[in-house]
Amino acid sequence: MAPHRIAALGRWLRGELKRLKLRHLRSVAAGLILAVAGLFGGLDTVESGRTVFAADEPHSDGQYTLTVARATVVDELRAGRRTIAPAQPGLRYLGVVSTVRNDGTIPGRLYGELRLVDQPRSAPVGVFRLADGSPITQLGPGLEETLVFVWRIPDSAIRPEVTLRVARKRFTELLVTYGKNWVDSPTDYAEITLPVTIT
Amino acid sequence: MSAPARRAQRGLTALWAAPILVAAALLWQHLPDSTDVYAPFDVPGRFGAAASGRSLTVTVDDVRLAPTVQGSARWSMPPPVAAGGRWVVVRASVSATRQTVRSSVQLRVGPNTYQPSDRFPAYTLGDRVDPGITQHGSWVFDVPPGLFDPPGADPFELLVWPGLDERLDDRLVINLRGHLESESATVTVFAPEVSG
Repeated sequence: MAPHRIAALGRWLRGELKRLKLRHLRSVAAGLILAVAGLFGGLDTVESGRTVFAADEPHSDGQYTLTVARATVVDELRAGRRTIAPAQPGLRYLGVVSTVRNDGTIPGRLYGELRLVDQPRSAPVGVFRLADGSPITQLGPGLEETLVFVWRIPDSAIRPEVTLRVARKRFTELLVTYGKNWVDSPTDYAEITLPVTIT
Repeated sequence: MSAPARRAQRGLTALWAAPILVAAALLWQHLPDSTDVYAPFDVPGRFGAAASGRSLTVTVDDVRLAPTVQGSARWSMPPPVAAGGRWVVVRASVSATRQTVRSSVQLRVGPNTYQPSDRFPAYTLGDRVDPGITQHGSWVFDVPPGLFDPPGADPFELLVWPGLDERLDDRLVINLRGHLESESATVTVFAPEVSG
């Protein structure tokens, strides 16, 4: 660009800036900051907060589609003649039945997919296939299974309803280990409240 | 320097700074991520031939697609297990080249990646591999059958590497395309055998 044109552009800019009042200048500065932030990804969409879904209603957390069916409390866990978890005094087992489909392209870990809300004395027992009671730790992409998520909870903590939380997930590059994986959002989640059948 | 000249200089600086800022943003948006920077060194292999990397040698000699798989050993014969999708049974021989390593395995089918199923722990190849001792056995993967609809999955390959983390290490990539045989009956998998 020729020097005389740069000088003319500078004169024009200075003229325009002189006509602006302080509040206009603030808007211009804010616009510039937003534009530069946008160039570097600072304006990416951020979703946050809590959503609610219902039983038998498919819910997608980004990685999985879950259709939660029911919650039941039992004394012991059995698969046919095999005992998965024996009866223990003062403790019972809460099982939540849900269909889970992996919508991603990599195997997904199932542990921690459903989390109990306001049950600090509960302990997860595992995730099992409803069909045969076999334990399952991961679900391959494109596969769907009907699963039972099981927790051990004290008798005194059993209530007529249970609330479960599903974190929103984002497929992203891992910072500590190598590769990409689904990472839980610390702020976005969905909750479902189910009636509990006590047997 | 006169005042007009200084002002022109400042304008010139601003004009240079803007495209540099835009170029920096463009570069930042297109930086390679760590999965590219630390990517493993793929060693291509073929079905039926030994593929050898820095740590492992693997030969795949059979690939089958079946609805049910049954484990079989001298001491037990559990019932057949139905897949969530279909079982892909990969029979292979594995040995280490220099020292004992723990191997990791994945099956890449089209856009998806699968890990061996955890349903046959006693009947599938383990993760410890020793030099001079070849293990013969199977890996079993649960895969949605739709991925094999004509014209077939592409890529369809077995990935094997030493350790948990494949970054900056050899990774065997064995092409299985064109070698998948469909079975309507149960496929039997046996506990791994070793030969010296």
